[in-house]
Amino acid sequence: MIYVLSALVNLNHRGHYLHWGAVQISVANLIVIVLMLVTFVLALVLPFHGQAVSRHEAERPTVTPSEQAGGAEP
Amino acid sequence: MTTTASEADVAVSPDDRPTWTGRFRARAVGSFPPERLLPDRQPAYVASWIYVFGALTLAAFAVVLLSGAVLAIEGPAWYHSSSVGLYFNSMHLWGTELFFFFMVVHLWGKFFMAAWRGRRRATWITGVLAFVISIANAFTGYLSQQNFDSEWIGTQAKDGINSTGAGAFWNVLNFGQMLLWHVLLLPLVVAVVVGIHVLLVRRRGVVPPFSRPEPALASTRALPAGDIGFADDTTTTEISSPDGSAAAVGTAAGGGGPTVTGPSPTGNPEDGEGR
Repeated sequence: MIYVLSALVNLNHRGHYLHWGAVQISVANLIVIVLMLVTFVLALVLPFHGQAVSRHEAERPTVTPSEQAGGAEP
Repeated sequence: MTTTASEADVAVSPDDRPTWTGRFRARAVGSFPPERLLPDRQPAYVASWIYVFGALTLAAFAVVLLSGAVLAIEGPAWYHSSSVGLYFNSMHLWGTELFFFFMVVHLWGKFFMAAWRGRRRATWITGVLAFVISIANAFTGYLSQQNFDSEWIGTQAKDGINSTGAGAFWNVLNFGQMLLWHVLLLPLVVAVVVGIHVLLVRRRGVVPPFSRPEPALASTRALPAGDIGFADDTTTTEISSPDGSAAAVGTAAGGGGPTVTGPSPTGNPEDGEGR
């Protein structure tokens, strides 16, 4: 299994670098930065899995833990 | 008329208690009541992916600490040669990568929310400190790899460190010093700062998103007994601006729910005062 995974991405070589004048960045670092930006945007636009539940819950009156405990009594 | 212990606690000011332990307990419970320290509800606006990355950073930090502890138990001869050791070594590396990945996304989210609003300046500053000290911690880790990479990093970094004057007592070419800073001093400082950061988040609450101005200051009223102060979709927080006018914060990030006036999401009457 380890050999299969290691075969997917061969990291056993010199790093690749990009140059724009005085700016130099490794491809690995650029990929990480792009992934962070993509993750950030997705976190803003993707719906959260609990939103539908919380909106449904909002239609009911708020119940505090103490009220819950009191309500359980006959 | 007899007085119960709880009534006596209320009657006695924290500063009037005879022992420092009593004063500390009174102040700790006053600042961090259990229902605020370990809440069982959260504000509706937290139901967004952008609010997840702080917890993800903590989870990655736990993986880094645990994998680092395993590396320390067995030692370099083990984690440089055996397959299991290499596995934990890689887990430690990739846990660090994810730690910074999540922390940077968390930082971006909080920056664009202006997360220092609502008397959360200390929360923001401790987050910045945690970020900077974590960089130093990771740096000493890269110096401790015992390979050509760490040798290259050390020889390149020494000139920069020496130019600041710090090289007189913090020598990046001193492997033993860097390793001990990496495994003891800096993780301890990061853990303490992160702990304070999390406590401040509990104290001041999660920063709400921006919304339109509202006139009332509902968050300044005291909450009824038994109310843990966390809202659901029917509530929002109102905070005051520096000029004294009120501004309501409702939903924004992640497309949250509707906005209706209600109590503070933190249950802290002080939260709405100033930014």
